[in-house]
Amino acid sequence: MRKWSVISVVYILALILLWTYTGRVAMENRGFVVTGYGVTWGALLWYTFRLNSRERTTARAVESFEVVGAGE
Amino acid sequence: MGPKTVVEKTLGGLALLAMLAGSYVGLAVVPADAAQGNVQRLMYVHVPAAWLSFLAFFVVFVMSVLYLIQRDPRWDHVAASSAEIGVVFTVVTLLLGMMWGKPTWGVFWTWDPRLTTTAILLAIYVGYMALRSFADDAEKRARWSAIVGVIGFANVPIVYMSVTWWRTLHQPPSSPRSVAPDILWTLMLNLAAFTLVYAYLMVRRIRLSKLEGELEKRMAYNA
Repeated sequence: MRKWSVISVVYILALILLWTYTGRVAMENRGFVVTGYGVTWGALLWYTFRLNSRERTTARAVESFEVVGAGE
Repeated sequence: MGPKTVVEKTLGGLALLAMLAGSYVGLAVVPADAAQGNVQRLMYVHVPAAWLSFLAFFVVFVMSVLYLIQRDPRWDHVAASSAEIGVVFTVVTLLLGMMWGKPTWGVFWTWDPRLTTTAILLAIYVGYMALRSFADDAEKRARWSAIVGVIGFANVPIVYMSVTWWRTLHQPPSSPRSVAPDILWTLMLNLAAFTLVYAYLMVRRIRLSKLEGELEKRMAYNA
């Protein structure tokens, strides 16, 4: 969880950096460009995070059945 | 939970590095397009996302056919995993298309054949995932979703050909010969990066799918 908090902070910082860079080079339509790249990275990071979280939850559930099975 | 094997860690690391390199080159190295300006930089993520959604649904199609022939649950795990990742890439494709469409066409969305067929593609595979969540029996779920996986793929060539078959706002497919080398190489770099991301996500999602199958078996055994 801590790792994903760090990744979220890095992601937001990267977006701020990109916004600043595109402003400095006077990129036209930078709102669309930054949003587009932000959405792409955001979606891929979010999905990887979801996979992590689902795998952890499912693994715990599988283990809980092992414990129940061992007791019977 | 995270990457487990050395292969998985290496694949994840390579995918991340390739994505960083692809985004850096696409945003800061390659010159802006002469006609469209900087907004064309969205092509370096829009086109790979669209191609990867096609690849993901092609994998669903092949695995569904294999499942229907062999009835091996492994093919079902791969098909379900690829469908989910394909949906993520299709959503990204549509959102990026909207970001590109507004400054070039003046609208975020229009019922253009390419956009409409892509929205239908998304609806088909969201339906595929919904179908999987409705069916309790693993064998029935795999069989029904394999049938949808085979029939649903028919829309992929329609999406691809839509810009050729109908009058559309969306530009027709470009040929490598008609694209400037800088643009082409940047696109290829991003295409490779997205393919690595797909491979990495597939490894992770298939592992989760097997784990879910195991949980389902144990729940049924304990019921």
